[in-house]
Amino acid sequence: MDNNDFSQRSEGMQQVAELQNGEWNKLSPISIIYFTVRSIVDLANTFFYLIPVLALNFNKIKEQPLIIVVVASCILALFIIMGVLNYWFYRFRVGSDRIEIKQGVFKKSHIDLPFERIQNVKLSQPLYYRINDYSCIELDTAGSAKQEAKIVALKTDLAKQFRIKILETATEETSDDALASSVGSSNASNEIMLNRRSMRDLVIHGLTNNRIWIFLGALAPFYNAISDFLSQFFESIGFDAEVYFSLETQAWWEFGLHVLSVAMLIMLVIVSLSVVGAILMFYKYTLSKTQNRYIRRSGLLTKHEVSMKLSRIQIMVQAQDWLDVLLGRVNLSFEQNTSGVANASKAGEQMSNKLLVPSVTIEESLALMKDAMPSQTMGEQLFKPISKRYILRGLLFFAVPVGIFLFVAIFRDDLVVATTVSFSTVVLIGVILVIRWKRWGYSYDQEYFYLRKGFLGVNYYCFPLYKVQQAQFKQSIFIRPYQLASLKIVLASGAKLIPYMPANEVRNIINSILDQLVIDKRSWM
Amino acid sequence: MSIEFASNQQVELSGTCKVEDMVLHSLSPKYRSLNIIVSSIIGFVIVMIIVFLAIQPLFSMPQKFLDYYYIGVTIIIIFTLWSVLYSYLADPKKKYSVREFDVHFQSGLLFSRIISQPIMRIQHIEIERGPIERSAGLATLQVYSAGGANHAFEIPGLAYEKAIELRQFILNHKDVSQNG
Repeated sequence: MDNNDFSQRSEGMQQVAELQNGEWNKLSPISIIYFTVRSIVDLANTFFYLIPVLALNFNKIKEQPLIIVVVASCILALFIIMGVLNYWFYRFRVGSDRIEIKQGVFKKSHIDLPFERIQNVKLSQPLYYRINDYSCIELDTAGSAKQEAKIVALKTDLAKQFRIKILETATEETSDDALASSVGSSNASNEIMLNRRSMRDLVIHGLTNNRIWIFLGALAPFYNAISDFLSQFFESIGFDAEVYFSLETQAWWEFGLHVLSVAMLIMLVIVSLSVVGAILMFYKYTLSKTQNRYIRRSGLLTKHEVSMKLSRIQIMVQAQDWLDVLLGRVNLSFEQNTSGVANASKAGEQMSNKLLVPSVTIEESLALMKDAMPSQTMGEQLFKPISKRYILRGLLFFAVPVGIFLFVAIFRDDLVVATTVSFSTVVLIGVILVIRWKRWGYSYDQEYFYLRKGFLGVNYYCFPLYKVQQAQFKQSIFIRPYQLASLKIVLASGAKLIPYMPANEVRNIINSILDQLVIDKRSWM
Repeated sequence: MSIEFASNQQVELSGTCKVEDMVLHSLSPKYRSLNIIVSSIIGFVIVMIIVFLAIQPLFSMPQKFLDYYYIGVTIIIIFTLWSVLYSYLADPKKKYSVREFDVHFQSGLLFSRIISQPIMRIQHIEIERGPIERSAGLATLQVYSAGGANHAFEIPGLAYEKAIELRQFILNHKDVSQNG
């Protein structure tokens, strides 16, 4: 590292030290923008269902443009006032080992958070903070606290130093060795780049994974307007949908071709939107590693930075959709505990209990997994199948009842149709069951359990046995005669059920997990 | 603090006692009778209310209710009988066991399962007693791990003293004091 960098760093440390003077600090006024935007978003979320009403009355409103301007500016002014008030009442104080935040205009809250309870520190930089380089720091707590701890505006370099400071304090508690922590602090900024995603990778990710929800959610209120516009557009270019899709005026293959081409067109639009969504989310994706953490940075408009402690990873998931299988790509994610994390309920990729590496190749994914858990051998596992009775169960308890129901429902009208429909339904469900059965597979060694499952796509899971929270041996009287049983393993990141394994094997796995926990006293965190 | 445990004989060196070879302890015998009594009372009360509404002379009920109330009564009686029968057959299947480093709970009539909870992974313990359990001197031991509330390990129908004893055993366990 060159000198310049070092001096900046020490300057940052000094600033952090200044922050820790035990005084109540105010935020930079730029946070007014943040609070304003947030209250607008909150309101939009709450009154989302009112938007169609507004859209319906749009024509009436259109006649009096002045009223809209007045109302809109009043609402905007209200939001800005709320933003200013929020800013005015926001105070934070940093002590040597804890941070306190007081906030709220009407509903006041006071958060007192010791550093060692902080599980994760997330930096995010919305677009409007980029002008003068501010960032939000979001602090995730382990435990049942549902409160959101967020320092809304700090200079980005200060925020970064502050994060290092918090994480060091948090690790000192676990590694009581003073030497180790001092080594940690000098290494903390020495990041190793593990993976970066190019634009090409993101395009592939957009193609294979449906990231369109990012748009569909935002576009929902305008569906009517869009369809109106489209029908007018088609009329104006002289396109008659009724003739285009009529079976009477054209041959069946012509009709099929038309349907196909429209479907292709829609697919094209969806896919390109999905690609844009992927780029919005994962632009300039980098995954880097410090001494004991993974850090993910990405984002086009709002930059996100998520870090996860390596030891907190509970399970590694290699997810492949059917298109991923064809292209040989994998979405690798590292999952940590979900219970009690304040932000666990947030949807999508923002979720901080997951660290996703989008659309890597299989080799890259295996290398990353090796890096996270060196002794694991996912690549060399031969998966054992589960019992074929899994298919039989599905047929008996699902396919046949559905078939009988359909038969009885249609029987009155037409015997032939009823027979064909119910028979083909049973066959279809049977095929699905066979494919699912083929995807199921498990394997284990001394330290790890490997699991494969899926339908059209395929997911691979790998978790260390010592992180198991609870194990269950499940056996119904229908499978007991055949010496089968299901294994349910509860991890801090969720439960995994492997159905219809040989009962002996389930017992052996449970016994070896329990025996290992007798000797192995490592923490799951 | 030393606690006398009926299961102490079972504690062996690691790896020698398998989960399937464990000796399991039954719940308190009161547990089954309590369940049967409670579901009979609930069923009886609901049936009484419906019948009372149908035959009382104070105000007139809708004709549809009078026409069909006996169907409701039949269904409730069937459900009550079923739950009584189920308690009768399934409650004796509920058993638990304690080893030096883990606790186990077995249950299920048609779908049986054994839940094994390593003591080292326990985060906190609760003893829960509703008014009915209190009147019978019973308690439910609930053990939470990081697996979340959906996967809480629960032993119902323990004698209160037994539940306290078990809780104390887990709290005093060195794995919990070091890792919990």
